[in-house]
Amino acid sequence: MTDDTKSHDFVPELGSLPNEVAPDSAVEQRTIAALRQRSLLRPQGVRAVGLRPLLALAAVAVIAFLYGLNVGRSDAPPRAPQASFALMLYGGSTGGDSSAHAVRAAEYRRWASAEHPWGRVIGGEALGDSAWTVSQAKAGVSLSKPRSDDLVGFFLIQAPSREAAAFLAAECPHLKYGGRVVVRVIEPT
Amino acid sequence: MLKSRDEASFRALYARHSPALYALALRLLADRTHDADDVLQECWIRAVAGLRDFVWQSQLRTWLAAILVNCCRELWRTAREELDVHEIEVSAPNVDVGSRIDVANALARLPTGYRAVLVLHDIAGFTHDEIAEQLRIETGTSKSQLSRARRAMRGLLGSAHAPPGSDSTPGSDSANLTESDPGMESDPVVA
Repeated sequence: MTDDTKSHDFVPELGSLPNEVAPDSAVEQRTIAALRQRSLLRPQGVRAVGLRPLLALAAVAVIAFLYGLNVGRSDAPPRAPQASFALMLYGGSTGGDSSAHAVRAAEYRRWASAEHPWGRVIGGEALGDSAWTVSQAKAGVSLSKPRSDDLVGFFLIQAPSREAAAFLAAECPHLKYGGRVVVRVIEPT
Repeated sequence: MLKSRDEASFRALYARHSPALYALALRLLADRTHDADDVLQECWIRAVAGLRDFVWQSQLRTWLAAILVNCCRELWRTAREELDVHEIEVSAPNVDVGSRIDVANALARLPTGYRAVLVLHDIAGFTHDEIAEQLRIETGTSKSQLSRARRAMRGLLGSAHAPPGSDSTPGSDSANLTESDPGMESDPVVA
């Protein structure tokens, strides 16, 4: 309620103005597009990806980050503020001949170099099958087979939030090939 | 529900509140639909981005309206439209009774500072303190602007509804608003 006399006593025509006017539907579409662009809105049909605790493989991502792997680097300016995440790729189909692998690799590269509303991919690599676990033992350093060896690759991304990183991961083609993607926050060091 | 930031929730919220916000934007921006479209869009972007800051002590509609007014204020500032108008004189009529302009047209012809206070106070229902905070003006300025805005509206609409003691002359069915403040050059003031 106002703290003064309503001027309808003075200008009664003001009361005839409509209280509501429907905006053009194009405004809604533009607004939603802008919100998506800023990673402020989750599109319909996309559910949040759970960020469950996983294997302690963050060291791999950190090492890769420090070496500055540049696969799929985008020249687009980052949308501030950004945080860094590692997308750890596990499992997925391994069949197919070399041409099928090339097609698949090209698909991953296209996804990595594309513009995404949720963030951007700044690097990544595929990993070979051979793996060793290095640990400290009484007699010195020991090498052994890792308990889980289905880590097949990783991407490094920048995104404004954990949710945005998860949305970006949800678009990764690795999921289409039966794999799973684990999102890990890269802590500043 | 918007805190989940899913599109369906946003669409529902947009459909519920946008018509009122858009009407307010049109009044504040003199029915300039293009500007009103932009302001409505910017209002929602800021609202979604700042939703975590929203305190549920106030109504969501009021909070959204305040964001929208702030967007309008920035637009006015960019266009160098002044909110603190010192003197506007209602001059003699120049059309007959049959040519009386409608209220929306009259509102659109008001200087920005007058129109803003009149819309926010007499249509949107904000208090002078709230208006002063939103427009970054003094409370006293809001009050004086309202008085002048009402007088200017009476001049534009004619004297048929002027209160007793009004200085409007019967038959003054339309009026020119004569600009006397040099800071108001960008306003569509002259009828």
